[in-house]
Amino acid sequence: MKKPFYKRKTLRVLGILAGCFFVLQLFRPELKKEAVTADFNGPENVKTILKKACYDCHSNETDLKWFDQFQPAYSIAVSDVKEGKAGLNFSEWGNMAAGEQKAKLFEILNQMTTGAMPLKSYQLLHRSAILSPDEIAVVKNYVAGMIKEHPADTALLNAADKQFKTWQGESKPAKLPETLTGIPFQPDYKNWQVVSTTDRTDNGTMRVIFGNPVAMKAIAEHRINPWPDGAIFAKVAWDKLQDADGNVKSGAFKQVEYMIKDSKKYKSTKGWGWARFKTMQLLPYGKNIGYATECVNCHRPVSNNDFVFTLPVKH
Amino acid sequence: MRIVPQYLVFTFLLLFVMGCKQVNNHAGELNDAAGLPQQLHFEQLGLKVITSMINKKAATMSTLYGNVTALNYAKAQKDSPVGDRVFALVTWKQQNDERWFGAKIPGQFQSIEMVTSKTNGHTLYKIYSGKGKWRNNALTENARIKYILAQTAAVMP
Repeated sequence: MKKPFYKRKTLRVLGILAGCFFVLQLFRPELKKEAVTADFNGPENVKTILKKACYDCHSNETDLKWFDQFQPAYSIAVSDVKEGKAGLNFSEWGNMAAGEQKAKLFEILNQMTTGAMPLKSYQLLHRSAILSPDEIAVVKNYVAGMIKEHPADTALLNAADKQFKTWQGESKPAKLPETLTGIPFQPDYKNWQVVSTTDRTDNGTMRVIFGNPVAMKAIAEHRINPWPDGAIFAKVAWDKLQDADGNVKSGAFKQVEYMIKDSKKYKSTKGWGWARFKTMQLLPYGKNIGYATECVNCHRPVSNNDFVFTLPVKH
Repeated sequence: MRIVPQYLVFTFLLLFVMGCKQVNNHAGELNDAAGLPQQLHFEQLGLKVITSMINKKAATMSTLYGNVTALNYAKAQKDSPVGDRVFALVTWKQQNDERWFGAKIPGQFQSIEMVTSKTNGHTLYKIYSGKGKWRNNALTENARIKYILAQTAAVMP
């Protein structure tokens, strides 16, 4: 008697697959147990939400479910946890300075509201990690409470004043600094056109985003997703100096950041070269070349917009 | 039509994955409301950024531009006899940045104010505020000139 076609073939294929599955189980990368040293110390209702949605990959309290124990899920989990903890580890939250914690909270909220985090691939099986609008609202409410805008104190005013005077008498540095990834500081940004400006109530800075001629041409022709190779942005940040009437002017220079589009050269960092030079010493940001991953991760909420936050204004 | 269970499962899985919320963050769009009136060809003036400011009460944000002479003046805080100083102050209403909670960005374009301070001592003022033409404003002119000329340059290393 002739068997139906699918019965013969399916069985054999399933057999091979099952074999592969068992062999795969032999490979088990280690998920190192680490102690909780300085756990997140925010309000309990916020912590509960972070625990259920983030702690599996962003803390030393990873709770693998039974289906995470099988390969290849196990390898994916271990790699997610490793990467997750490198970017943010709630078990070491207390080791960050207050300013860093605040900046991180705004980033966390923005990752949540845009749906960038928790990862879609993780949500697929870990349904309990999916955040409801109400839960996001709880986090938002907590984070919004950290926005404090008040008139500038003397320290901010003096810093701005001192810096302005030094700048007036500046001498050009002999050699321009560069990042560990080899991106040099480009002083010409101040001669570029403006893409937009931002008022950051989350960290008390105001910013101007400049675009080089390639970027400005792309805006004029409305070809900005993706941006063409050769486009460069320079985002400059200053302290906000607010007076008693709520008028704000720019204070001390904080940093300039660059995004340089080259889809081949910077393929591993989403087609962009990332750079940040801090203070008047123009200190390049990053302890090792991995700093660029940090940049990419923070820009993930706008991954559908070629990783660019700025909404360009035609001038 | 015959319904194959396996296909049904796949279809549901696919729909499920696609159904994961996609946030509309206006990808690929320009900030149209904030765009400067095209007929002014502002970019072609080739002015440089001097500084920027925010008015919290009015919920506006502005960027002050100028030619090289104006920039040098705002930087050195003294006059040089090189040529006319041209300033342009562009103002927008603020709007919340939908891409970053905690940020505000330019919203509706409000006005451009131009101040030309000539070497012969004359200072001219005009404002373009969306009515389609440049106008003078005798009432506020002096105060605005004073305000614009008093701005110091933002530090840009």
